[in-house]
Amino acid sequence: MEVVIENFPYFLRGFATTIYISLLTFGIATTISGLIVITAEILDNRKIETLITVTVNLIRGLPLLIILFMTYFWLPLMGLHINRFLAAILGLSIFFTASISEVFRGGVQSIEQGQAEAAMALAMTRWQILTYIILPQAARRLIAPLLGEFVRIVKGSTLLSLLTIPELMLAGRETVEATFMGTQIYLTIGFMYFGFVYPISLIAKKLEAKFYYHY
Amino acid sequence: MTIGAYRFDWTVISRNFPIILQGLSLTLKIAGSVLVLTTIVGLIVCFGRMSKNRIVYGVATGYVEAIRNTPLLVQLFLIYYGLPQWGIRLSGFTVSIVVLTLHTGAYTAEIFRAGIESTSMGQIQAGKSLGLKNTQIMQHIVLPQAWIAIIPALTNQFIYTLKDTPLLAFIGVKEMMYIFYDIQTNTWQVFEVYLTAGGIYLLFSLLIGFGARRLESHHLKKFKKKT
Repeated sequence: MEVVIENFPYFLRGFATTIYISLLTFGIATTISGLIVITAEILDNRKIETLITVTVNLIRGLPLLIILFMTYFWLPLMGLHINRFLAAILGLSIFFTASISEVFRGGVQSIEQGQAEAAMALAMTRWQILTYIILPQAARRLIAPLLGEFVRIVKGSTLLSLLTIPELMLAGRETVEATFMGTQIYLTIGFMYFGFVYPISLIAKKLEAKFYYHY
Repeated sequence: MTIGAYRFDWTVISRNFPIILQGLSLTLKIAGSVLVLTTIVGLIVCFGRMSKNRIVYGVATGYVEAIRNTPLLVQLFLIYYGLPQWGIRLSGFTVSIVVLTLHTGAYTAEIFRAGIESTSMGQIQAGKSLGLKNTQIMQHIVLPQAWIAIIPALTNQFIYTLKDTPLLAFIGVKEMMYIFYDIQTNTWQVFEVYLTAGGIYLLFSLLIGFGARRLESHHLKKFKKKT
C-alpha cells in the first residue's frame, strides 16, 4: 500500500494529463463533427452525404488502436514529423469525430420531420430551419449522449499508454514494472478512472431521463 | 507502386500470409468464445439487475457500474499482472477470455434488460390474467419480443468485442494485431501492414453487420408467423 501512497503524486500527474487529453479531444471532435453535420444538412447534397457516411463508417469500423498506430507511424514517413502527443491527439480526434458526428446526426434527425416540413412550407431556408427550430430542440437531447462519448474518450485514452504518452495508465504500468505490485496499483488506477467517470455517467443518465421523451 | 518517396511492397503481406491467417483465426476464436460466454454471463447478471432481492440487485448493479466506468485496458492489466502476485499464473489467452467475457457481460446484461423491459406491461398482464405461469410468460411472450430489440444491439456488441481484441496483443496473446505489429517492427513497412490490418477488421465488421441484418429479418419473419 505504501507503494501506492509513495507514487500517488506521479499518478495524479498522469491523471491530469488524461483529463487534459480527453477534454482537448472532446473539444476538437465536437467542433469538427458539428461543422460537418451542419454543413451537410445545409448543403443537402446526396453525394456529399454519401461521402460523409462512407468516411464515418470507415473510421468507426476500425479499432481505435489501429487508427492510433496509423497516425503515429504514418505521419513521420509522410514527412510530417510531429511529436507523439500531437499524433495521439490527432488519432483520438479522428476516431471520435466520426463517433460524435453519428451522435449529432441522430440528435438532429430525432426532431420530428413534421416540424421541418412545416417550416419548409413556410418557405424558411435550410439554415433558418436548422438554427431556429432543430438545433434548439436537439441541443438538450444531445447533452447526455455527448457526455457518454466523453466517457468513452477517457476510457480510450488508456490506449495512449501503448504509445508511451505519459497519461495515467502509463504511470500505472511503469510503477508496476518497477514494483511488481500489479493488484494494488491497477486497483488504484481503476478507482481513479471510476471516480472521474461514474459521476459523469450518473449526470448523463439523469439528463437522459429528463430530456428524452419516447414517442 | 510508389506514393511520394515511399515504395509500396505488398509482398510483405503475401510472404507473411500464413501467420497472419493464424492470428486472424485466434482473434476470431477469442471473439467467438467471448460472444457465447458473454450471453450466459449477461443473462445471469440481467436477471440479477431485475431482481427484487436487494443483495442480488446490489451485487449485479455494482458489477455493471464497476465494469462500465473503468477502461478495459485497466481491467485486463489488473488481472494479467495482478494475479501472479497471489500465485495464480494464467496464460494471456485465458486472461483474455475471462476478462473480455466479464467485461462484455456487463454491457450484454444491460442490452438484455433493455430488450426485456421494452416489452409492454400490458402483454405481461394479459398473460397473467390468462393464468400463465411466470416462466411461460417469459418464454412465450417476453423473450420473443425482446429478441427483436436485442439482436441488433447484441451484434453491435459483437463488433465492439472484435475491435477490442487488438488490446490483447499487449497481454502476450498472438492474435492478429500482435502479428501485424510484429511484422511492422521487423520491416517498418507501416503502410502495407496497417492498411491490411484495418482492411481485415473492417471486412469482418461489415460481414457481422450483414449477418446481423439477415438474422434480424429471419427472426422477424418467424415472429410474424407466430402471431
